[in-house]
Amino acid sequence: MLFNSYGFIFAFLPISFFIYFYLNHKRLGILAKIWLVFASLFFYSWWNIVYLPLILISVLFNYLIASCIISSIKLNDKYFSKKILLQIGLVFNIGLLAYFKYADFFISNTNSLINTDITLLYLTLPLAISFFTLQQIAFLVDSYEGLAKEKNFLDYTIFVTFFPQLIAGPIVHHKEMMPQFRNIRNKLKNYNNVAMGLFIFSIGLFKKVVIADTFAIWATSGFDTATSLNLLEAWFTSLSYTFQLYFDFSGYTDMAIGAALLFNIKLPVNFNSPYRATGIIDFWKRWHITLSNFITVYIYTPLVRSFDQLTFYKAMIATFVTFLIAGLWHGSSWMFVIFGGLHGIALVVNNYWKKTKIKINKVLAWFITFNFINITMVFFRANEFEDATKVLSSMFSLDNIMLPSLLGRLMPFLNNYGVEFGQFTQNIEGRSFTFAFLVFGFIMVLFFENSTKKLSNFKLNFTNSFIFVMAFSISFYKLSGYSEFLYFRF
Amino acid sequence: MNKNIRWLQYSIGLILLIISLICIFNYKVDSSGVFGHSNYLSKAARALTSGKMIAGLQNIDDRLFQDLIIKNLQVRNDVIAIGSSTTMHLRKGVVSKDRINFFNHSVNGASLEDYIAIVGAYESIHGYLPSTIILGVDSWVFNKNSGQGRWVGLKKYYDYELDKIYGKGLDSSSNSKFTINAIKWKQLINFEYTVSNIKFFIRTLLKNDDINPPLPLKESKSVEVLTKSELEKLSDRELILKAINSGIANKIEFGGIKALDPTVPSYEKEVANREELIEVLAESSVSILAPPLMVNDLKFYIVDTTDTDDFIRADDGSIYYPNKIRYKSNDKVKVDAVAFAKYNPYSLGKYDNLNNIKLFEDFVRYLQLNKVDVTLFLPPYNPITYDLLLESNKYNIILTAEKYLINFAKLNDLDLKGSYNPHKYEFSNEDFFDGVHGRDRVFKKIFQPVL
Repeated sequence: MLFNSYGFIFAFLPISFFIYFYLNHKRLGILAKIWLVFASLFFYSWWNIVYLPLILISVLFNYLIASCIISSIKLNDKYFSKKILLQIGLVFNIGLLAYFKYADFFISNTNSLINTDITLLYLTLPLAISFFTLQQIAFLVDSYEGLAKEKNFLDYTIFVTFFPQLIAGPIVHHKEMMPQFRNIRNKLKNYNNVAMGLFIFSIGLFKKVVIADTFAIWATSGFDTATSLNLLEAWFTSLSYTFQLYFDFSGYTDMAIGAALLFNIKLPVNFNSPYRATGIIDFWKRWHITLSNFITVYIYTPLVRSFDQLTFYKAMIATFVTFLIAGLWHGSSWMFVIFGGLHGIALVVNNYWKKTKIKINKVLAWFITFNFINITMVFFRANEFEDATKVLSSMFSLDNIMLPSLLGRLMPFLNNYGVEFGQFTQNIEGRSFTFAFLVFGFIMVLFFENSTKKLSNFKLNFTNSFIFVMAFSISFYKLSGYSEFLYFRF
Repeated sequence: MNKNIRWLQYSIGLILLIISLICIFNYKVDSSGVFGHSNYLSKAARALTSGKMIAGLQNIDDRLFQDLIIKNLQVRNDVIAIGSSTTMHLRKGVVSKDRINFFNHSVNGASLEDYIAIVGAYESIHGYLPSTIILGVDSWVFNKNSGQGRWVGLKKYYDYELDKIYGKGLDSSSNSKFTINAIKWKQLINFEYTVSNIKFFIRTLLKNDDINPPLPLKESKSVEVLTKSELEKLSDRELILKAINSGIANKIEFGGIKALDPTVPSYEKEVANREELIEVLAESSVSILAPPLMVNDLKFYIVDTTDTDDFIRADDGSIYYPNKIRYKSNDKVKVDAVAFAKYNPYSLGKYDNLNNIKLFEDFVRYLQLNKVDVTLFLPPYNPITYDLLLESNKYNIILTAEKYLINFAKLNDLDLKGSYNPHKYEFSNEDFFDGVHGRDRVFKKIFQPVL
């Protein structure tokens, strides 16, 4: 079930909300939790019930391993130590991810590398597997390190399957979620949270269905349909995708935060105006923050720890490797590896730069950072290397400039330099407002208060009511089409 | 009351109010006649099937309109044509010189499902099949990635006809009824439909303005007779419209620089014989149709001449474009033809092999089994477009599709007319409106070859 669907907004969400609080009101706390688990699994199964057993097995297996790790006092023999249990858990989780997500990638690369003809498995990626796997890996490691304890299977199942964060995060930690579920005050309806939740949900809905889905038209045409692009079309295509991804994913996160708030659960912040970043290190502190934290704690730190003596050079190798892995986590394609690799290199460069302590003008720093992000997003979006080169080569070629006919009348001399005038955004299905919409995108990401700030400064006033009413009403009319979130495929 | 609850009540109340108002607006304006509330599409369909020519009907739900036309048919059609916009200019006089009942049911972006559904509508509503069916088969009809999904508007007839073709077992009539109803009521909260209704509403309002006066022969029953002195007060434009409406358009003599300009609608020209025309109008006892009183009636209007600068649908279902397209310069046609091939080869994207072949063949064989003569019509491309498309191997599938259709027609003894290849008929850029839409002479040449 999609957050941006009538079924979710008008049936699933209100029904789960009212029954959950009704059961809590009747002091049927366990039933309320069972209801929440049931609702979450229903939400998950709406797409494809086939993968329901997979998530249940994953939850059960990880719970058992974690329970064994926690009660490891009895398991002190060398064959069944805490460490071995953790390793079994990690192998299971990574194996599950590798099988469903990377099997065909591995087979096709093996086939082309050593000329074999192994048949591809054509497995469908189970929804949310990347997210619930990461979350459970984190839980196992935390349990191993004594930072998390969970003896109640129902609570553990809620922690993993709680529907607002199940499909595409934010990636949550046991220690930040379970105290909230256990807090007795959170079992009562909190109308302030309901108001804030609906407010932030509507903003997220607007970001997704009005802004991201509009940019999606031009990004999709530019990347997938167009056979060639002129200079402006190529820039519009890449910028459209850069904005689409941000508004789509941060919109989803806002909706997740809003839906969770209805149940008095505060999910962690995942975005903090990432396109205002003035460096790549800064960018990753603002973009998909929960993933950045995960890779720092569970990939980068163990890598760094594995070195005998940590040097700057070794730390940079660890950074680069971490980002290659993070890139690959997004999907089984070399494009994601390239994306991760480029960001890894940029982080290394950024760290070296910081070491030199040379100051750079903030606007220039932003300009370099944003353009780097925009260019690397081309690899992130392209299905094939050819698609990426099609867009990138047009972005930097001066042989294919086409400007609006209007400018042709004002600057006819440009014809002498090979500049053509005409329908300059035809290949990407550009409309008269495409350019204005891109400018609007820039204004939104650079100058508007982000939704996290909006939520922390939330007041019950007319302005917020107006924003809520308009965002929801406009989005409501844009809900008619089916439009999945980009991060569902990762 | 808790401040939070009050804030929520006001906000949610306002949302409900806004949504309700927009729903009511969509239901009332109903620019495509989805809810049958305004009923204007039904009126247009009735006008058309009773032998009238209508103008001004654009941006409508093609499928719904064809459904209404078939429901309102007053005669048994011997020959029908079904195709996309590339077949819409096929007229009764071109198909046969004999007195036949012909109707062109072509819809924009027709897919194979549309052919089946329209035939299904004939069978389910009237219980017969026309004796001849001309299928305008565009090259992209066999492209599973053509992106054409508009046929779902006729899904109930499609399902019905599938049952006919393959026998019972595919009974999904109740299902499809539910789907159709769901699609229908979803239009109340559909963004695109809301935008279309707003545009329609504005257009309707503007049609009442002095800047944009009503065009000839509005659908209205009221009559008026003007005296000579009243006629003298009218502008040239009004006089011309009155003359056309009174059926004495042949008495008008045009003057001034626009007199012979075919791109200028007749009612925007200067009258050279003003006094004479007023005399004729005053003397004629012909009742002149008055402008309509109801705003809703402005959505379409009946005309008795194709010399009207608007989108016209003739009584045989074929169309005439507005003057802007009808009298487009050859240079502009060339530009459009090139643009079509280079940037927007309609529905030819991701077209690697022919799909839907089995369904197409089963459908045609079903028609033959039921003694229907099937004619396949292959609408030609503009030669500029065709050559550009074939320059790139990417669109060689057009040749494959044509080869397949020629073989299929031969094997099944079907009449095949036309060709995607315009060079076969020596067509030139001047014979087209753009890259794919042929002018009347294209159809004349294909359907009535000079021996």
